[in-house]
Amino acid sequence: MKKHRHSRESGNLVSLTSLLWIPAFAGMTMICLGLGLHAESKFPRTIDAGGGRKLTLERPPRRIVSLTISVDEILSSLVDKSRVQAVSHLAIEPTLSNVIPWAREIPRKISQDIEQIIACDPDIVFLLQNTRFEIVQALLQAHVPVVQIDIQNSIQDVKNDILKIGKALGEEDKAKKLIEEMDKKLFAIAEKIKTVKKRPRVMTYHFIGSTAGKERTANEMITLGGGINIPAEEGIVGSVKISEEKIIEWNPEALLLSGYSPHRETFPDEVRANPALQTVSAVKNNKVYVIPGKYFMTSSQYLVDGVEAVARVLHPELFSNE
Amino acid sequence: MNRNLEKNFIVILFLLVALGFILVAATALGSVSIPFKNTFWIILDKIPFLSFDGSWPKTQELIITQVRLPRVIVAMIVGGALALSGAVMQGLFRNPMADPGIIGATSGGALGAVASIYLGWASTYFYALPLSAFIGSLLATFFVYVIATEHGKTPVDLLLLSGIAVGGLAVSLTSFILSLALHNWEIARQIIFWTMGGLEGRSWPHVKMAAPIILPACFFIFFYARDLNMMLFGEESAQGLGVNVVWTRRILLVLTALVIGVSVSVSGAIGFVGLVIPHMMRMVMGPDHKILLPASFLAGACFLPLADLVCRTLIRPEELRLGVVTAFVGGPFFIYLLIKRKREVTGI
Repeated sequence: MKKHRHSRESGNLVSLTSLLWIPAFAGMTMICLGLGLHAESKFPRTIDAGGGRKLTLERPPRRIVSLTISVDEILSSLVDKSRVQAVSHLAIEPTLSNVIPWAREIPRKISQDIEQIIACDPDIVFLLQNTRFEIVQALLQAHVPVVQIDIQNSIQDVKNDILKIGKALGEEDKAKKLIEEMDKKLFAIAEKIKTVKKRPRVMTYHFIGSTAGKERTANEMITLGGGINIPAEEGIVGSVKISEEKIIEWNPEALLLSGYSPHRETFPDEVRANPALQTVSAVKNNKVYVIPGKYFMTSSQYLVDGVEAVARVLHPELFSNE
Repeated sequence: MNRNLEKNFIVILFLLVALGFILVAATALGSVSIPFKNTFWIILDKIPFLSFDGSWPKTQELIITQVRLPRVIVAMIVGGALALSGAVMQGLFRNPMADPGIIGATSGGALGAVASIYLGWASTYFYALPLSAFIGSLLATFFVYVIATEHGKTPVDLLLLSGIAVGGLAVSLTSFILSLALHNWEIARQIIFWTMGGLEGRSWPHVKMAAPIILPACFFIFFYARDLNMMLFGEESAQGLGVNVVWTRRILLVLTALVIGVSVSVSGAIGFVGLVIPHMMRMVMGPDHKILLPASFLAGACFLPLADLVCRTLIRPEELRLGVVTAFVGGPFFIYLLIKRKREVTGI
């Protein structure tokens, strides 16, 4: 009895939905034709603005301001430069930025200066989750639409941020495509690394004397680039200061240094010549590598290039025929 | 006497006019250039019952009303509060070296703030940092007072020493937290910034936080000017003249701790204002607290927005720290005062 009624109801439902199909199709076609842009039709939309806030956007933002280089780099692939009012100063820093020519054409390069931000008359401002609270608060007070981006500690974090930014700007399709491109490159590298028989045990060594453990992008770069990250293996999480003794004890086969070392340009040479480190096999076998800062420090889609850069120094033989 | 009164009146009037001028001037200048004329009208437009045709760009109005104006007002309130409490402390302790930091409130507040930054509270809840600083300030002052009190009496020299001890302890704990935080660059940077004092990003919530406590407390303090005058002659004479020394001191300590606690919570630790401004005013106006206290408040309120202006504009796009600027101006001035006094004493 019960079953019977259920089927009748669903029968009604089917006929009802089939009736609705026609106007629904017609309506959607009209909307698409009328607006021309399918992305526009999905506004207004409410997005997660970070810090427990929601932000409602009436239309796709056209005066975008970004205060952090990772977002600058992501923006360069998602939107036309005419929509960007300002990017961070670091976007034109030669040792850090992957988008210098693009960033040069953006009207303004700014820092965390509230006045400068407001003067851009932005309809969306991207900044990092760890930006000082007073600054975020002051911008919100001035009714500036602020979106806080999570700090990216992994490739997955970067992908999430790309999707989040794409959603905020009405450029989901481009965001998805960008992620597909990342995956394609990562897959190609993984195919090469698969053939590696022995993964070298390595570590990063930053000019402030720190190394990267788990939950750091550098850790993923090493793992996907065909190495074993010693600090992660030792259970270290995040960036920690490391003593020379520990480096001697761990005896890494290669040391990975960042090419970005402001005011310490001589750091790689210092490491190579450091008397304390002469027994370390990385130093002994001349395997202290400098990875360009723009690949090693980035938290955008260019992280994939970081993986490749690490793979190239750890396994040059895989890339010899390119 | 009459001429003296006239002079005092003129100085106070001058300070009031200067305050108004600084309000507009400090608001007109910043990293984005806005015409002086527009600033003037935008500020007038914000005064209730006044309204003008807004022919200025909306972004300018936002920068003036939401960024600069609250910051300048916070600077005025904090500057006034620091200078006033400095004057009170110097009177209370009968010691020219006394400043608001002497009862441990500044370093205690800094410790509270730094702890809240380190533990991550500061980035999750807006009031977490000011509240921790405020609690730190009051706790430190409370300890100083309890340590110095014996059988219901609180001798000034003991108070001074326990203030130094508790302050030193708070400073070392602050350094300890900083050294724990050093590997996390962003956190360490915030802590260092905070300990150097500054008004970057201060907006209306900060005004609303500071004004309702600081202004009434300062107003109450003015009523103790007569008692402070009498205590200058020594506590026993003051007692003889009908001043309840124990309670006056207690009330003044609580009020200044409150004022300093709130100041530290909105601006970080800012040195030298509370030391130098009262001395400067004493040189101009004499030692009568009835004039000295309001004059110190006004002079402090004039000085800090100017110092903050230097921070905002000198080395763009970076900002100088406010505590650095006040010490940079205050230090040499204090040395000048010392040399001058030395000459007066030795008669050279």
